[in-house]
Amino acid sequence: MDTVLELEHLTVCFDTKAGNVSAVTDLNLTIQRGECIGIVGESGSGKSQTFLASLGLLAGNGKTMGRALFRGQDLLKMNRDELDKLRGDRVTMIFQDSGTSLTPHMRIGEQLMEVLVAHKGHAPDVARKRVLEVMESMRIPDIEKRLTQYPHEFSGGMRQRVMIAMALVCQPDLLIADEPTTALDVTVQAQILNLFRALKAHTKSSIVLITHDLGVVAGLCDRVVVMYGGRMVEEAPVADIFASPKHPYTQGLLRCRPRLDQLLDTDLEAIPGQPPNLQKLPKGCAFAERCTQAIERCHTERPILRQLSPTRRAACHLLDAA
Amino acid sequence: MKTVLKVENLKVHFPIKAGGFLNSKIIPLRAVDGVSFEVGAGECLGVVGESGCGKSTLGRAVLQLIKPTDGKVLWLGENLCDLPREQMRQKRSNLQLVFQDPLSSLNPRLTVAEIIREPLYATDPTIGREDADQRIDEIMKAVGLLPEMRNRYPHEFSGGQCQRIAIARAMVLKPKLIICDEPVSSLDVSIQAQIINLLRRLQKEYGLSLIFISHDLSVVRHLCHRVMVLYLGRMMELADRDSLFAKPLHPYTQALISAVPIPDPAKERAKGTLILSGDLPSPLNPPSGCVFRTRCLKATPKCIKEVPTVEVLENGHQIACHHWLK
Repeated sequence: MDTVLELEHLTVCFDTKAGNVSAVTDLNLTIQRGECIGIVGESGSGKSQTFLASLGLLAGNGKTMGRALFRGQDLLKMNRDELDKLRGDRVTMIFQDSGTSLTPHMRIGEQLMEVLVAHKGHAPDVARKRVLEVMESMRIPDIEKRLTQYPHEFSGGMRQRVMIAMALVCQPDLLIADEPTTALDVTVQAQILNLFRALKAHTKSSIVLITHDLGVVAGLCDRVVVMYGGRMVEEAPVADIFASPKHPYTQGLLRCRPRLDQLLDTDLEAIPGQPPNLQKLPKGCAFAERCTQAIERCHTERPILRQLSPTRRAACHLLDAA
Repeated sequence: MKTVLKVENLKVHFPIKAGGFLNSKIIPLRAVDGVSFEVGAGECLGVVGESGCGKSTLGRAVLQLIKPTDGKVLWLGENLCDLPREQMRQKRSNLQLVFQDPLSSLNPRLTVAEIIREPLYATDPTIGREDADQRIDEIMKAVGLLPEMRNRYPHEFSGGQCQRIAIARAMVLKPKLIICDEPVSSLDVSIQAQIINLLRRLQKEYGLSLIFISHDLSVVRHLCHRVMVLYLGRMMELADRDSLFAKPLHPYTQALISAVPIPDPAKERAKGTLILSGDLPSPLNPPSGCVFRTRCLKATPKCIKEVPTVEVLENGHQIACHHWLK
């Protein structure tokens, strides 16, 4: 297999006034070429920090341990220059808020061409041709005029398309999309998800889709990783995670949302309690105090991530007993 | 079912300065443009639409927090738009609002008990301390907060709990109608369900009328009896929940429903989403005729010329489209 990214024992800590806070703990994950992988979790689950840390984009008080191998090279050992060569070229990332990711005083066309000039050394006219090509694939109407405009002249959905175009001009090996549609309206979200689907069909880029919306994952991803309290609690192929979720948290996530394809006339099955406080993670399983199936062992001993089948992993004591 | 709230041809236009320095002129931004609907006692009406469709403005205009430009808001037959300030203030004990961002809607320098006490004092300055405390404890229990938490400050609570405090503040006066403006959108998925269940329970127990403003169609379908779809300040469709979701008549409603991802890989990949082209037009310069025509798959020259009128079908289904029969 052709591995693009391999995270080994990745741990991310933040040095805060309240002490050391661990945002991601001992994460192991591999991403193959051409694969689309969904990272699901709530705020504070560590889903974004995992990838920000891998790309050296952590806040100043953050520290990363472990290894993040991109095509065999450890990203965490690289200096800024080496990282800058990769970022925006071989590995790209797009964020939820496209408005703040673009430079407000530069024309969209210049911003897009700059990427190619910096990374590929293209002459402006060659770069322009490639930019037009990518913008066309993003189904942006009236491209020539659009390229001369500034970010504030674009709507949220259009800006997100520009961001995706910018992430794709260099044909990266890995595209990381952090909640790319969360800030958008549903009809615009449908447009953007459609673009991702086309992208998946026509390129060999691997895609990491970080999201809290299981519906988005269902339509797009091949494999799903569920995170809770900074750890991976379950990993499975997309069909399996929806058909037979193993971890009680995954089960809860799937049940607590009303769905358009089912009508309930009872209360929703809410997950009780609050998301965990990362400063005060319990000794046992981080989900234990909200888990309706928890046994005594869950409160005293942390479950390890076990391989359940060649394609599935989960961290839950209940699966040991079964 | 008795009608408690009747809104007739409500319009909210904001004056906006447009044009350059020398030829500046004031043009109206039509945030809400001629919307009519009714809410029955104990009924939950969902208001859905994308950002900028006027759903929040509508909620505020009903409560007179924004003065409507035109139209009537009849609360138990009385037009709230005509009421002088002081009389409107008295009415507010029956009409309350819950906002999207719970933390910013709570005063950070007041304790939970003080936050919930404020509306009590505002409507009845003579209320005794013990009476007030008793009512605060009652309502805190009803929304799932421990009365022991009464002396804590908002920042000590999580988002979900802050939303419970905001709901308690709205509920403490035993209002007849609460307008919830995206009450769960800023919460984590696992917490959303708790608040939705709470609203559903309160609504049944207290016979509350709710106007639930949201962009989340699955939540609206779960919670509401009837649903109104807004686009660019106009009503596109209004129907009871089951007929709206089973058989949406308006092309916009059809696209909205089809755009919601379904958490089932096989169904989601097979369903074939109706993709609308383009974005929401600027409300400063809305399209002529039907406002939705620029993105509509069924648009014809007629849609450019004529604004569709609202047709009321036999089952009460209301629709504003020239071509819904096609």
